[in-house]
Amino acid sequence: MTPIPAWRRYLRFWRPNVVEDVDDELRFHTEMRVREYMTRGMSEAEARQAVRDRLGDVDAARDECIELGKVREIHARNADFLDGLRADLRYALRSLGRAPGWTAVALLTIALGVGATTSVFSVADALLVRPVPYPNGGRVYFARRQFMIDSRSVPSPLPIAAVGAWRTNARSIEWAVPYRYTSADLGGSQTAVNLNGAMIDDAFLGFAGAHPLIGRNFTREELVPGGPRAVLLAEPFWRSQYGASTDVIGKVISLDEHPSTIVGVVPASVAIPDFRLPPADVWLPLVASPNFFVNGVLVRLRPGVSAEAATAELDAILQQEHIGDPPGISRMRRPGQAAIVTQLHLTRPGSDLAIRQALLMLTAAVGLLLLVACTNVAHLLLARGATRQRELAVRHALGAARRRLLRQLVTESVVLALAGGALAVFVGWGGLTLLAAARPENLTPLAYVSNHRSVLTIASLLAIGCGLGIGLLAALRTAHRDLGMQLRASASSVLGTSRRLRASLVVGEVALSAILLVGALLLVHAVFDLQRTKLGFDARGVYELTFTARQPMPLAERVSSGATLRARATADPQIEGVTLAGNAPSPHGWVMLSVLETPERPATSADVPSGTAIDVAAPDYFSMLRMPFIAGRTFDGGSSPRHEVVINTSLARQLWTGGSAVGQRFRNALMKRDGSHEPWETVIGVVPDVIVDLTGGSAHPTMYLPLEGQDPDGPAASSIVLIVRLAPGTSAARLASFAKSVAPPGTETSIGNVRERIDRTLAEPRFMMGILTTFAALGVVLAAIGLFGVISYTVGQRTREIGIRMALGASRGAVARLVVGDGVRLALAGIVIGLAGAVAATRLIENLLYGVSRLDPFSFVAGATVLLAVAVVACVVPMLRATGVDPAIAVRAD
Amino acid sequence: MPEPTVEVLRGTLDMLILKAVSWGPVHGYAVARWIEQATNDVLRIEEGSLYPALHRLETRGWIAAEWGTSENNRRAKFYTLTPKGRAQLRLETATWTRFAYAVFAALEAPPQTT
Repeated sequence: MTPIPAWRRYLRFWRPNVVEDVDDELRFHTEMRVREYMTRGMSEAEARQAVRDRLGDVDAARDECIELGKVREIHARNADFLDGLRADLRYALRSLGRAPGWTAVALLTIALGVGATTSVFSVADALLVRPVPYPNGGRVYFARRQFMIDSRSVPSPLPIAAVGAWRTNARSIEWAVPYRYTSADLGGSQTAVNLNGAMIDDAFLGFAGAHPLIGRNFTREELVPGGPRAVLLAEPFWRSQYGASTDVIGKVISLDEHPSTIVGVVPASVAIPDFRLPPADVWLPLVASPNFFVNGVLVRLRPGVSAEAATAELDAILQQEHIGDPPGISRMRRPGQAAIVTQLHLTRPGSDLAIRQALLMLTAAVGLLLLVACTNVAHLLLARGATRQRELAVRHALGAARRRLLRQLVTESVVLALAGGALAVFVGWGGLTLLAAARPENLTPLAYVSNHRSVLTIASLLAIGCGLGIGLLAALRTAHRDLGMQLRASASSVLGTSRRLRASLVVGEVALSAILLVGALLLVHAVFDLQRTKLGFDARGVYELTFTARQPMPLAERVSSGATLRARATADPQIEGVTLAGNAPSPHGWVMLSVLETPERPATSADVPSGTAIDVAAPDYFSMLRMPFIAGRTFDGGSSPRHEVVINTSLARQLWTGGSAVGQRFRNALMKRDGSHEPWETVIGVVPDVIVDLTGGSAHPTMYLPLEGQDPDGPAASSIVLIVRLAPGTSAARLASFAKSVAPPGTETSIGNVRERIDRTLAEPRFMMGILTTFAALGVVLAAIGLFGVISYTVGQRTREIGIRMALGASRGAVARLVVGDGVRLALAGIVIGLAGAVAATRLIENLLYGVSRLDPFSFVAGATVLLAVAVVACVVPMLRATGVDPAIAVRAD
Repeated sequence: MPEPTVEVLRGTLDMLILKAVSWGPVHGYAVARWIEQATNDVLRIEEGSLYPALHRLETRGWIAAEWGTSENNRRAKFYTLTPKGRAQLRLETATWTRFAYAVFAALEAPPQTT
């Protein structure tokens, strides 16, 4: 057999033609056989006939061969592709491994960028985007009622009767379900466990599109007063507390010392999307006594009905049915002016968050940050140094198609991005866990967002997007360049345009991080200032113990129980001070709608009602809380109503500017429900303002009424509030056991840390501060990486120039100044642009700054300084490399 | 002599083809010729079925094909045995030999003793 000529191999270079090949092969066979038979003496016709006979069904054979040939063709193509991919991957890993430092920087950039974006996107998605996870969630709204006082809204509970009226009469909604937060002590264990409970009726689970995991829903009988006590466990609580055992159904547990039967388990996915409520451990039946008030009502609108139309109808039904306000609030209503007092709102989750705007801004900023990080990596990838350019050029010259080289670059970037993405999952996961842990209490859904799947999905989508984006950018930068030129030209001249682009990217990065940094510093400043607000009383160790009875207590009983409790507390050596009040200083104190008048200046119809905080206090309330009297004295201990009040300086200033308040009289001009006037109150003392809401600015005008002279129908009629100051070093747990031991029978106890409650008003700005600070730090790191990259690159390019300068006598100091000056120039440009951007962008967080100007010079100067310092640090390594240049070698190089 | 049934020949043909290509690159016609001569044309295989068999073996990866030039300078497809095919040939030879011995032994065996 003759050897196959080499050129024949190239037949394979064009896509082989299966059909022709099969025909060729069969024709060759036929010809050979015919020739053979003819040499044996047959005529050509005879020979052909013989061959045909010998072949048999040649058409079937041909078809089968073609079929098989096509199968082989597909296999071969797949194998080629996989081979290429494997080679590309191997090559990518090798070339990444060759530059470990560079790879680490690129990986870090991607991991931080993708990770940060992942966590912020998850949060924004949970808080702002995702509809209520119920069937037709897009039509689910909260119906809430609010008082508007001094343009601040105070939530007002809705009576449960409203739900019944809506269910019967409202045509704009499909259904309405009420809910109410409660807490319950789980008995039966050594230490009392306080559980968060949500009260719902039997329609709730259906409304949420859920079924009990095991067991059943509540029944009608369990929802009427005096019915059997049932409880549904929430799945997480069931898993942690009962090891997900199915035997719990029918078990009886003690809740607030009432035996309650477990009837079912509610899946973890079911939650009330009300941001103000903590996630429920147990679900309790909402027992519908007529005067029961709920936190809110969820309504599902009929398709096509607008929220405004529904609001109008639901409000009208409330008016029509005379469904009123809670006692104590209706008392403050001005006759004929109901519309001012309460407003019904249909709202969506997240729409009432102060950080909403800020979160939107952050989402945009982080997306931008990711984009810049990607571009940065793309340029790192391409301009890794002249060697890389040459390598590509050499491979191109050796016959690698440009498409093949581009594929190589894309593979490399995708490998990089995927590895970075894998790291990013951890970053994002960690970030989200931190966010969920640091979340303010009213951002409940954050507790639910931290599920692995969403983080994984977002991170991997972002990573793949980055990989393709980076590869594409790299490819575009290569495509318009003549690779052949690269071999001859010195790389620096060709990359001149790219350097300009890279420089402007770095400037952009610095600008972006300047904006984030200024925002973060503003919030830090605001939170720092707010935290140091003088409260007006000494909150150290102060706790509020509330004992609430199920029924209102007669005044005499309240007084005697209060006295007993006070005596017990006084006797306890670990309690330093004790007093009785209607309320400890708290952001959720009572506010009375009022138009105050004095005998000298009676109210007119033009006066706009405003809010006056109101509290009742025992005579030693002020001394116990260490509120020094500015003028006058405290109450005396008598129990007969003498209409004497203590007021704070704000109220004194409001009514008697300049003059002395003590001995003066005033009253609320708004009439009582029965149309009678409030009595005149005589001021006997003036105390300092107490700040209870750190974000609220100044204190409300406040009046303190004597505890003993309280209105028997007042809002506190069913509870006794003991305010205690623990001796230094006493733990709050000690207080819990004290409260348990002294609680009057049939009362529920709750303990509030006064300072904590006030601090909690800072939750939203503090949360936003945490997020912004983290991302500002991230932005600064990315900017530093960018600066480092561009300056290193420049130093690499200018090695020869630096060598010449040094050879001509430039000192190392001059070279260092040259390099650092380059970086500082870029950073300064970025900082100037960033500060200008911050002037505009900080408007978005203005409502979180509480008194700190959004143009606060401290934040701007500090931000600029930090960035400049970081820029100098980022230049240190390239500077060292530049000053280490040996002129003798540098000049000869290339 | 009566014709052997096709079913018997199915697996046998594959084995013979593997054997035919085991000495080096050969084209289909040479395979047909070799089988014809080596078996004294007792099998009289239908040559139409030879090519699907070759392609089947190629698809399985037991033989590899390459276009080349024949003795009379024509473009022809040459087949060679792959390592995988060589292993298969060894296996089939062994199986066939055992089978053949068994049949021989049975045919030569004395009548059954009860």
